[in-house]
Amino acid sequence: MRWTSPLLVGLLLAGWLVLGSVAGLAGLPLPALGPFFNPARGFWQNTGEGARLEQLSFHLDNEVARGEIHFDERGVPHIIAGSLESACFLQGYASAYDRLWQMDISTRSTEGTLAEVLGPDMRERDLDQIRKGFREMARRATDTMRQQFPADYRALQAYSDGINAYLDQLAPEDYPIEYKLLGHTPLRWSPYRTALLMKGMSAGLSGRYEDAAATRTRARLSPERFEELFPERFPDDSPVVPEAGPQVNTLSLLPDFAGLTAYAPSLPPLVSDDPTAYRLVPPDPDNGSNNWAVAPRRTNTRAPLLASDPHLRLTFPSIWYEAQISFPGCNARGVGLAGAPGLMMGFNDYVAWGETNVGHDVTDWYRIRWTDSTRTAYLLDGREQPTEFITDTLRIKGGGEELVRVPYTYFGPVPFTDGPYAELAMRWRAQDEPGSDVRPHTSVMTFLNLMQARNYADYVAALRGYVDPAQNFAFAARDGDIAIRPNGFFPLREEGEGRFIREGDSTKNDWQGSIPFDERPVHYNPARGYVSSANQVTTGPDYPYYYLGGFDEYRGRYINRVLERQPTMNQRRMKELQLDDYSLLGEELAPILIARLDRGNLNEDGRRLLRLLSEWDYRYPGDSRGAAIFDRFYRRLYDLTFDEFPPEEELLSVEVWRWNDLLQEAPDDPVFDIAATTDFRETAATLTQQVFDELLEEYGSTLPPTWAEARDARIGHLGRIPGFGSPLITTGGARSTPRVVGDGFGGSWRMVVELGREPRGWGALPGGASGNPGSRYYDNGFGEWAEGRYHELTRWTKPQSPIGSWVFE
Amino acid sequence: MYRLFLLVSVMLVCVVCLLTGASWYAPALGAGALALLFPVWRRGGFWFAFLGAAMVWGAYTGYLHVASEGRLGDRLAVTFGVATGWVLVAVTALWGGITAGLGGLLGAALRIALRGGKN
Repeated sequence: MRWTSPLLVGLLLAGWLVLGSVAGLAGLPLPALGPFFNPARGFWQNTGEGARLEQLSFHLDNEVARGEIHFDERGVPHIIAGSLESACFLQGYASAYDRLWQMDISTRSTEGTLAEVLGPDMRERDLDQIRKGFREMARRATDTMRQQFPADYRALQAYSDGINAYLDQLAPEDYPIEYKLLGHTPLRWSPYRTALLMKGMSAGLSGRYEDAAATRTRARLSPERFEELFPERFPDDSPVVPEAGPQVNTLSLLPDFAGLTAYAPSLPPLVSDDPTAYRLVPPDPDNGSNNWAVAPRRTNTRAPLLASDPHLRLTFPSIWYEAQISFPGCNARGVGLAGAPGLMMGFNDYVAWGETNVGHDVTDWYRIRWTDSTRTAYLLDGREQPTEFITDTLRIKGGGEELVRVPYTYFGPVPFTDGPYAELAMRWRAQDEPGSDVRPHTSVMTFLNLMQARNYADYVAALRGYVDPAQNFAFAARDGDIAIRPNGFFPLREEGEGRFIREGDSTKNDWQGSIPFDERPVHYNPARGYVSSANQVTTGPDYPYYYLGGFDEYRGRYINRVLERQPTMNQRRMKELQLDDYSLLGEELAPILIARLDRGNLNEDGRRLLRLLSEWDYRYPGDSRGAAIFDRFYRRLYDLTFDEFPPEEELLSVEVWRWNDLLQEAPDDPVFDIAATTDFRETAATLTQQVFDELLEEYGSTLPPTWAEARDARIGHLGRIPGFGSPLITTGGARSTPRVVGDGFGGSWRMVVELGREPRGWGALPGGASGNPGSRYYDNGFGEWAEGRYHELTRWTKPQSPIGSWVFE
Repeated sequence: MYRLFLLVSVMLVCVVCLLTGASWYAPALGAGALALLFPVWRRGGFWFAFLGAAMVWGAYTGYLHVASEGRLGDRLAVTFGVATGWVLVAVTALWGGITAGLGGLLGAALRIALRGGKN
């Protein structure tokens, strides 16, 4: 009996130890509580600033591990190295220190390995990525780079070595807190992972396709009605390159990528496919950006100015990693992607650069004519062609693994077996990896070369290697040049080609090459004294090559209007324009809505609501009630107008500018008639009144919310961990204004550069350098960004009171 | 007196565990061994080991919470749906206390069993 007590206590202790060691107790999303609460190893170890505030010296067994990293008062690393490769190594090291989990999870997201660490909920997301072929694309990109672009590969390898050198020194107690919460461990880095990141970026830039929706919509409407509702070109647009662009003397419709159409991945043996039902989740169509540059003759300091602010999903940590990178021949400051070497937007002693999305449709879908139900062959050019399959493994945390076999055709993978893109082959730019016979370097080197550019010729040379989905590269140089080049891959298309699903039974339907580099649009030192882009249509109607895409027609027109009207610009006005919350959409649409209302029968509440709307100045400050009313008003009216095209039927959406035209010019158009009310024919006027009455009923005698309350915008954590995001954003901005702020979406980096004798830059980042929520540098930029302030982007030639310094010897 | 020795010894063990980055259950092993050594009753073995570990873990994490101005603790409080990061300090102290306390209880029970039911 005397052992009964210790036995029972022993069992109790054992039970406690098991309880503390098991993650996900009782099905709750909890980490193993014992290790997590252990002050020596758990989350408490993430509370401090760690090495950022220390003076450290490293002796690493890698010949490129040489140089210095100094952190400034904002926690931003200033990298001083002896060579490009050393700079890449140090950038990799610093990025790993600050953003390890972010780099890990974002490349897992592209790779389709989220379920491996986050569990079965991520299975479908992973399937999406695997079936679209991201792993295969990244493998091919890495192989091509290793074999044909050794300099590019060395830079990537040095960057990877930097990350792995940090990992080698990292003790488990110092893992970022997300690893501790989610219970996984860091991945080792390789050029393959950076390739994944770049492919993810390509996907973000090439999501503007609506082939299936366009095909369905065209089948529903007469050809005339389709053209009437869905014209391809906005007649009042303000293109990025208004003139014809380059001196296009002849239309050289010769493919400049010799191997482009011959898509032939190395393939494993044929196996039968398991057609898992899976359907497309389209990317966010609102990804966009602004950039512009002003010539010296239009600035009050006679120095060129450049502004750049990319609009992307806003997260903590920020997608961008701010840094200064210097080595002989380069002293650049700006932002790069956490996970890739170099600076994508920035400036140096001579030039500044920044990008926006061109928005062209460079993804086409082809209907495959299978010859049997098992999809082992399909018809191509009148002959039976064997399907090839690529097999990848999808691992699920706690749930084993499954093989995913993706059928590949001449045109590319057939990712989906359900939904509007079922049984269609996906042809898109990121599948191709042109060799050194076609491009001088890869897209990775484009940004590394821009960091070292000294003039327009260097900028053009850097862009020649960029053949990913296109971006508008804005440029300004200290010597007075300004330019914008919509650059990247533009498939050669016949009129209308690529808008609808195409037949996949003929190789003639494939892209027949791309628009040659020298015939892509260029706006170089234009007479108007500025260049600009905001995701609007690329060229004026005279440009000879056909293209299509999704374009924003409001921000760009407004920015150009402001630039046109300003006699001179300076860096302060550039910032003011980035922060401008004026809505051209409001200016053009609100008066039409107000004019359609019946003012005679309004009660007191109605008159107050109308007064708020009528007195609205088309601006979106956080405290505006008029902006909140307008935004809700027009969105509801839009949805009601197009009740014929319910979202669940996945049809095309009419462009807002076209809807605006219909409201104004064709108020009796049948599109305003509500299908459900057979005994009454609605018009633009009755619909507008109906929505106004609904709003009146909704608000009643209470004051409508302010715009900040209605928008309800916050910045969330990348992994959507509650508590790791920002508070409510109370300042202005909307999706249709230059200052873009939506819920979880907006200006992810603001930069203004003045290229005088000593170039100066100013920036604002919605976040901070660190990815650690326990660090003061996690969100130290949020307040500045939200309130519209900037910090100077200093560049050090030697340390200037750093808060910490690391020396690699 | 022995209970005080146990309390101080457990506190020292916990400090060593913090300094060496020991596993979360290390205080249980330490407290168990110490309770085998010091003649305390089972109840004393539990509560003084509990108190020793809770004080060290609580004081240390309280210091970290204050020194970091609650940046991480308060964010995690939102994650776990509690009012403030101080709740996490309390939970940490409680967790350490229970872990060490059960170790102390086992040590005391073993010692009493080995001595045939006498202290």
